[in-house]
Amino acid sequence: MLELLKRAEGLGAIFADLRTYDVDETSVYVTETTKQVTSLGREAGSSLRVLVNGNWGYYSFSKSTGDEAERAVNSAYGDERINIVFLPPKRDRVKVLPKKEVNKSVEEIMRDAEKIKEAVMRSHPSVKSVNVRIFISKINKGYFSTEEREIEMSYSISGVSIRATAREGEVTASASASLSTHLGYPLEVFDVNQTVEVVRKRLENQLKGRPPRGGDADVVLAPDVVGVFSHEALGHLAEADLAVNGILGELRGKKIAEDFVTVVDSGVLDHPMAHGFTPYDDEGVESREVKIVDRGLVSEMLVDRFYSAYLGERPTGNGRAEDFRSPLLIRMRNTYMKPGSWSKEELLKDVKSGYLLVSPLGGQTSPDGTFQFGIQEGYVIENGEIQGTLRNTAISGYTIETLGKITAVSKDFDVWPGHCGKGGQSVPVSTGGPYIRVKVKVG
Amino acid sequence: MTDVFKVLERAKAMGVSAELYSIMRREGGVRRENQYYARSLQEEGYGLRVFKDGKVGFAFSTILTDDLLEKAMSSIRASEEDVDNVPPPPSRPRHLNLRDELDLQELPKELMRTLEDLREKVNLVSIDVDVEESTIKIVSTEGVDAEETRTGIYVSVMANYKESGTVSPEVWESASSRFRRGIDVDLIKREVIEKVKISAKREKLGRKPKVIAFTPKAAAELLGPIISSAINGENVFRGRSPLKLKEKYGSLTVVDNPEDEMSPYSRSFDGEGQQTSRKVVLEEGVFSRPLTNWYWSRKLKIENSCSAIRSFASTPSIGVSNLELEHPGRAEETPGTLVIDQVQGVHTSNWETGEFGVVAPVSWYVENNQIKGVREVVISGNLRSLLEGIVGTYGEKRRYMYLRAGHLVTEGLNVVY
Repeated sequence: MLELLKRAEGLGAIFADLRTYDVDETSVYVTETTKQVTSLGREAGSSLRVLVNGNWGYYSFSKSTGDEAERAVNSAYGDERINIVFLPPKRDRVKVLPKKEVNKSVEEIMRDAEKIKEAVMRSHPSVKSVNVRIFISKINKGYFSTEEREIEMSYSISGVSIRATAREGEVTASASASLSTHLGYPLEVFDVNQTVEVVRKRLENQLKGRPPRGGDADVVLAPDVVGVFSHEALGHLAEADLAVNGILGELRGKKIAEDFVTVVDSGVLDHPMAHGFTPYDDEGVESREVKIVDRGLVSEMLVDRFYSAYLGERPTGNGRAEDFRSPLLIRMRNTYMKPGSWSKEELLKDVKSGYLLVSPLGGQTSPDGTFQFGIQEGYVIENGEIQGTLRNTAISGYTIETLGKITAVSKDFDVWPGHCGKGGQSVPVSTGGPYIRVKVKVG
Repeated sequence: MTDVFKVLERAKAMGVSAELYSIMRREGGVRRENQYYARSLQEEGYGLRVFKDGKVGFAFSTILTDDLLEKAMSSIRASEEDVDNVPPPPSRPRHLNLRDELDLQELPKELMRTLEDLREKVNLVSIDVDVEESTIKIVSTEGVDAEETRTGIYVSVMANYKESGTVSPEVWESASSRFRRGIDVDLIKREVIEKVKISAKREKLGRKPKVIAFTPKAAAELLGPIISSAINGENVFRGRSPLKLKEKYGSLTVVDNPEDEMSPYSRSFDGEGQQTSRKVVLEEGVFSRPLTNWYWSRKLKIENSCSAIRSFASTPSIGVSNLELEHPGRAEETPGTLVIDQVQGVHTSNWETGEFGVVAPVSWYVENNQIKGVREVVISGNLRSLLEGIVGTYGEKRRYMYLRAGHLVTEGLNVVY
């Protein structure tokens, strides 16, 4: 490792770092018709990055060829204006010990997936199909730089995801739920029966539900939706590479929401499903909490080493790459809105006619501040009471306007796992928050 | 270390059928936003499937070692006996021409240089150029022997209008091809400049449009993923497609064409080494056949469309190559037609029902010979009503990503504005 870095320095690099990546993957997939081991194996590789003559060069490889430093240096290209934050020497080894060692055979995992599938099929008479996936990733990552930083991390992420479809006449309902954690085998960390029940309830609600009236509406968003809103609608806007060309960079230091609105991104969060676990990012930077909106004020952006220098902001630890072959991008980790002081009941009570939106179905945002995401579990609220269920629902709007329309934040708090896509890469993240009351476009 | 043939010989000696997929990939690229990132990659990977007594096992690695076979055999124990778990038949596919002589280091830089003057015309968010060369080899104990080298060039540009507190949505334009001559840089530039100009000043729609036209790019973004899911043989077999076989949905013809040599989604053989060919999946609106890999063709008891896709780290699934859309109706852009050029949120669609609700960040209509940008429109509907609502096409057919179409003119979709 260190020889490669020295070799790069010898070729003119003023900075070089090496990421190593070694992952054991197991993934099984069970449906009402098939059982498959979809992935079982080991992926190992490295990525050498050099800063030479003010330009980045990069060489990623799965097998050593002996000339990695030359290849990285020869690839360098740019306007010779790269400036980054340098960090002091550091050696650290992070090993996350699960509550119980994950040592399941593929057969045992397959049997568990089969049991979950059976439970979902039995849960509702109209269930027609079900997908159950259980995965275990055992991750060993290394980071070495010419600054004499040597960071090694060892942890696992395991999860189960369920997706089911039910049909009654012309109405088709589909629902999903996922669990994921770095604390051990998901079926030993969580009660998966509760997750099966969540899927059943979502299917039943959609089968009985009706589409919402299109247009602006008063809504109460549950923690799962608030988390995705915080991530999709706000967090992406705060990624410095997007923020410098987007709306949030323009609003830095300005008040956009009430004092009870605070949204943060953090590499470590004490919650079993906070699997955006990033104590050090893939540039060897210590994670810190980033207050994107601090008591209603646009505050900090998410940065990598380059944007830390570019914006003059203390490093945050948001430089991440999906694997050894992917370049670094600014990515979120665990993104959430901080809880407030209201109760959920108080939030609902004041909605005369609107919706309680409990669970999202993905989402997307644009740097101009528009967002859109689907809703898979939602309810009609009439005079503060839940009166019926929804199907085929989506919400959209302008993030900044929407944040300004938040009128209450509850003291509840929950976190959900997810995967975030950007630039063709997918990384584990978590999202979370309290209940909030707000006005958005429902369609 | 071992080699692919030794793995197959050992499998044969154990009385097991085996299929080994391998890939050697080289890549060069440059990304520019506020910083440049130049990169290069060289990697290899191996995926081994084993079949025995109606069971299947799988293992992968970035290094081909003797224990890959043992690992695949260990997973076979988790498999369930199924008469359709049999290895794909022998195949020695004929080859398309899918390789260009490309300099993986220099071509990205050359293309980057030709695109950078866009900076003088628009607020450039990013430019990405990637060039790759992959050699895929699939061999099996059953006589599959397929090997091909494919090149690919991918260029994308994101830009917006940003001035004194006004920020427009990102306009995204791209081009991809297996050949250098398939990348029209000037066209990308013209499209970016024109659409940023339209997006700079946007107004809310005053009334619901009667007719919506999807540009080839918007058609690719919206229809591409929804149709791909609907015609997937696994989804059809499991009742998870919104379309029913042999039923008619409007008049659109959809062909999956892996033989379009200019497209980087073309392939001489699929992820199981089987010879690919054009398949008509919707014929004048009638859902004539789904796409399959070997396993799902056996389940559905139909001819295999040879549409297996995979990476070395996963088992074969089903995927489209290039979708070509043709409609008998000839339409035109009439005043007041809402033209949608970009959609976001397609991944929130309900793939089983085909229901979608998407935001159109880049859209416009023409009034008094002037193009007017439109702000915050949500389009919703479902695949069936979308297909049935297509009344015709106009304009030049173009391929965006994996879908080729003209402007699709539709009626009957819900518009929230």
